[in-house]
Amino acid sequence: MENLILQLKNQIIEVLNLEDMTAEDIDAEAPLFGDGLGLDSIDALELIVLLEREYGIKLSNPAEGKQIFKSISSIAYFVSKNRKK
Amino acid sequence: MANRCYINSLAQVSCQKPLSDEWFDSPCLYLEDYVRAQEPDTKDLIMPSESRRMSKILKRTVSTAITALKNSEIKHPDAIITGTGMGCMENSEKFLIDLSRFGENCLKPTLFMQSTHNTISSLIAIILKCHGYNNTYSHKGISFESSLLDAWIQMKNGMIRNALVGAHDEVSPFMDLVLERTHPEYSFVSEASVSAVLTNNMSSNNICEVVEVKLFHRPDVKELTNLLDKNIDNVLLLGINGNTLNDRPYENLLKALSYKPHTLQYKNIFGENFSASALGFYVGAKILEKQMIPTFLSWHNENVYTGNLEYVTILNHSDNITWSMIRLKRV
Repeated sequence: MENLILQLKNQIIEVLNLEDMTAEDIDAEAPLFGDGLGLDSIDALELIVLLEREYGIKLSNPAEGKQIFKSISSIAYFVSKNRKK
Repeated sequence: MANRCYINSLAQVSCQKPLSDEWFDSPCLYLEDYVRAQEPDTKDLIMPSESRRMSKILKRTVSTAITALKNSEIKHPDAIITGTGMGCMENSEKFLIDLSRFGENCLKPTLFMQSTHNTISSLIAIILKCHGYNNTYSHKGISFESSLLDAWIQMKNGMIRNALVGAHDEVSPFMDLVLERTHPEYSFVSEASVSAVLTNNMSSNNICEVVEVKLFHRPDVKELTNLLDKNIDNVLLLGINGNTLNDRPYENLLKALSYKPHTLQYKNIFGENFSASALGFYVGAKILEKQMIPTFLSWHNENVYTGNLEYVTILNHSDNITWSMIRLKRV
């Protein structure tokens, strides 16, 4: 799981162009939206595309998104259970 | 048409020092055929959370727009009007390459949103929270003049009091290769981002007045010479670029004039691109503001210009099909 969390952190930094951040700067338990990383709705769309491209996961139920994208840890948990790649 | 149209402030990003008039005294000189813009320092202009999604052209655009507005008396312009020949070219390239790489299944949302031509004008509006008239003109090398004409007509008719007008183009390495084939008349390809704040308010801070903006489609040489012959005090700022294909129409026009005007160039230091004429507009305004013509702008003149610098006329053509004439007056 730790490897997956590190991989997700690096992918998120690249996809969301968080230029000044490193994986160490991101707390895996911190909220991604609002406080914490302060991501917004466009970032949420980028994360959905990231999961589809890198892990073959299509989010069929948008309502799940809020829980899945709560933190890096929650994304990692979801990916580990549902990944097709 | 009693209303006036003044240039209140201007800002540029190009291959010269960005957001600066330093080129006027010590221009950067290039020997290369293709030079990219010098990037502005955006730290004090754009919040990191906003800039992380912006491509180079968007950062340049926002930098010139915010700088021009900061230096002006206007904070929320009535209109934002933008010209761009190719829009957000680098994002378009990335978007298409990415789409192709992933089997045309998934769109990258940010690239999708920020690869259209009108992204530029709308992004300025979002950042400034301006909900007024917002338009984008994309007419190759005459895009800037099209946006200026729109603003000028609206101001002259009292429809708007002020406007943020600009032109922005980026040239990626790939696009430079394409331009080599499609536009052999271009030499010294570069990039441009120019923003100008126009106002109908007479003020001591105004740089100069825009007295005339005209566009011509396939004009007869006589049509242009008749207009120029009316204003023999003109200093002509021409869009010549050192390439015969591009320059010959200007030379033919000059030969047909009844007088020998003082002729200037600007593409020798700013280069050529679809928004280059906006840099001509910027140079013309700065000449009138500083009441001085740098010697490196002179083109085929026997003597240094010693007359009054009351007017500067900027002439530009795009593929010798569409021509523009902008006349600036000292204030």
